[in-house]
Amino acid sequence: MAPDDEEIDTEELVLGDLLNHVLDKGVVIGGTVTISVADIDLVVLDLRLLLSSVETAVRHNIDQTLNQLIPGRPST
Amino acid sequence: MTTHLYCVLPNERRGELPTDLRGIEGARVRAMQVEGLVAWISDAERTLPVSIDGVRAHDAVVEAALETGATPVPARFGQEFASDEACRGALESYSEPVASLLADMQGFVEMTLILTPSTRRMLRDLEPALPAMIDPARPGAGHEYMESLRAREAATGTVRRSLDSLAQKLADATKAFVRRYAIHDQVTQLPLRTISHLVSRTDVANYKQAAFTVAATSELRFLVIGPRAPYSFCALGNSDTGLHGMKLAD
Repeated sequence: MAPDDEEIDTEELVLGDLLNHVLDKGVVIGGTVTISVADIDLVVLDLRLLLSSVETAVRHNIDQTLNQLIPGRPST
Repeated sequence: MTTHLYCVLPNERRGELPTDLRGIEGARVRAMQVEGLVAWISDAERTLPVSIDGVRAHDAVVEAALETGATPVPARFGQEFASDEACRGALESYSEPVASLLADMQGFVEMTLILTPSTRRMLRDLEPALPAMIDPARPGAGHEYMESLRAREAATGTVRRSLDSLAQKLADATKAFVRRYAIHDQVTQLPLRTISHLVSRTDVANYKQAAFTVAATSELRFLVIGPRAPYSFCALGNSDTGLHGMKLAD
């Protein structure tokens, strides 16, 4: 099976779902995990736009979590 | 020092906290009795940042509560109380609805279905249609952006319709075992669909069997997650949405 034909990683989907369930800001984090699943830069853009409008997410150090998930990501 | 709340259980389960159960940042989980229920809590040294490890630790404690045989009402992650007494006070102020919710949840668990395109290639196939980073100073950038949005909608619309169709098949197959359902918001541009079902513990195996009678297509697949604590059915208190457990504090 070619790399691009690989199934989307189940573990990452499950993690994204867990975050989405346990956090009320999980939509933001869930999007981040989806990025790492899909590896599509555009969703990073979408997420940054979303982040900029979610004050509570910033208050809860979502930015720090993003940095954990996306090494080398420039600070927002 | 603050107090972190994981979940509440019926009072008759007060003796069932596993010995040396550890929660967030390795803190020992304690049971605190509050008016006919038991809260599982731990100390936190400081304001806890949202982190994957923290969320996993929180959920692991809630899962341990689920394994007692009772169904816990999970607390949403990230609620801080200044002390045990502050946590007790918050729970006492909601004692009636919490007790009602606990009674309502006993015997039930949450099952979650995640519907997704099958492969990374399928996701990448959608990528060219996604709006790229467009230089706003370039002539025609606005038009280009609108065109990219239209192209993306055309590409992802087909996938979303397929997801809707698969979701309907799964709903039809499992409806005999579903007491309630909750559909999680679609907030990213990626075509994923997440649906939670409240199912009797005794029906979990039948529910899974019914779900797996639905054949995934070559383009889509689905995951069945659970049984888990009923996060998606425990709206309580200051909840703007009921999908993430009860919320009693900021």
